[in-house]
Amino acid sequence: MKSNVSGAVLSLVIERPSVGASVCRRFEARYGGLLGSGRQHIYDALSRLVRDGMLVRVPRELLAELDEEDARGAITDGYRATAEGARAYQRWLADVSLLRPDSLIGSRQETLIRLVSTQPQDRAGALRLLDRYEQVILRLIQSTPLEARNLMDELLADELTDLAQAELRWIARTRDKLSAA
Amino acid sequence: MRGLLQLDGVTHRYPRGSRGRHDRIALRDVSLTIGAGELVGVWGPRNSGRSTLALVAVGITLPGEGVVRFDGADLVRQPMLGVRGGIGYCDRDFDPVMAQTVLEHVAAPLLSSTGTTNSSAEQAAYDQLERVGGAELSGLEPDELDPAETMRVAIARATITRPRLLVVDEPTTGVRASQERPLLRLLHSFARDEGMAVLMTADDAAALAGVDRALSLNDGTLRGPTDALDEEPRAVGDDDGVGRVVELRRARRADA
Repeated sequence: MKSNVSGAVLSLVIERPSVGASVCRRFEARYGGLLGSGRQHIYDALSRLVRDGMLVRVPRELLAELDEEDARGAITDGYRATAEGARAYQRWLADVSLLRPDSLIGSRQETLIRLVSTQPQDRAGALRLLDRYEQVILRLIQSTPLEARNLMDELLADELTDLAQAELRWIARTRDKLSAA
Repeated sequence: MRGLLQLDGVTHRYPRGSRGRHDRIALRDVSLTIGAGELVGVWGPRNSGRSTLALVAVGITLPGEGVVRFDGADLVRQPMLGVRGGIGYCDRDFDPVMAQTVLEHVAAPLLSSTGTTNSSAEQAAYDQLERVGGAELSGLEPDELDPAETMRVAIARATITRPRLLVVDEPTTGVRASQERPLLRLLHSFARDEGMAVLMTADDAAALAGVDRALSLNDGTLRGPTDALDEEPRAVGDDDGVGRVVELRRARRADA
């Protein structure tokens, strides 16, 4: 499973078996700034995950927790994850091949998507994710040449390292909070 | 090939409170190997253990647990002017002790450790100040130096005895942005041109630009490729997406 939308949808259903409308609402609330995806994409992802055996449809009456909005209006069946879905979710979380070693911005986005997709009780998983992201950042800084070809190159390199510095500090703070929680 | 500097399982605590309960742990099971000619940068935020790591690496602070080896010998057991004579250390705190001028300050290690005459020590100090681009500072007094000049002088003093290992704690802290890179190029040159093993700590990530290995230190825990590049290559990245030590080594050779 390479699609971040599918991974995010799977994460939401694992967190709480839900009807489609609830998945869409929670997706927008959690991933709004990270994954731009319309409702059609989310329903497409739900269908794909069912087709691939990672989710199954369940009657809404069997969903243990329906939020008020779902309970009022939902008439369709809900979704819950299968064991294969849970395994695929873990593989997706651990797949850092998309953390591009040459792109701080891209790696940051991939990390944040996975971090907010990590179940709150999985602190060890979140810490591993931070460790990997930190290594990407350090490699990026390390690969910055000390001898810039010209002043503009040097200014751009400064901008990259300032961004990287901010991310390193964020990682340190987040790691501290996760360890203390 | 073994590293020139080896830290193995080093843990160090600072006691807190009269009964020593609630010790603050500055280093947690830190292992690190640095080979000759290698420049290793360690980034860490405030109170991460950076300065303790630097002091332990040169044998000024003795760790509570673990081993520190320099060229295979246990650093803790060596006499101060024996093995440790091969190690240079400097930080941003300029403590000239009895020296009146920069020249006297730089020459001091030769006079105190090798019995060199005053005139030859002064000549060597001039040479070393020229090496670090600070010859014009020789007649100044310490309080006349700006932070970058202070660090250049400190590096000159730390390297005048031609150490094989140079440990520099926070070289760019307080230094103006335009002066950072020349200072870093100077440190790189000691590794590249003179084959020194250089360990540099920094709270400014920009200081890690171009280093052979970049590591992080958080709450006393060291993360990153901790083995020397000349060690037998060991995979560190198949499962973490950051590549292999061997790739670092190849990249470095390609750069050279």
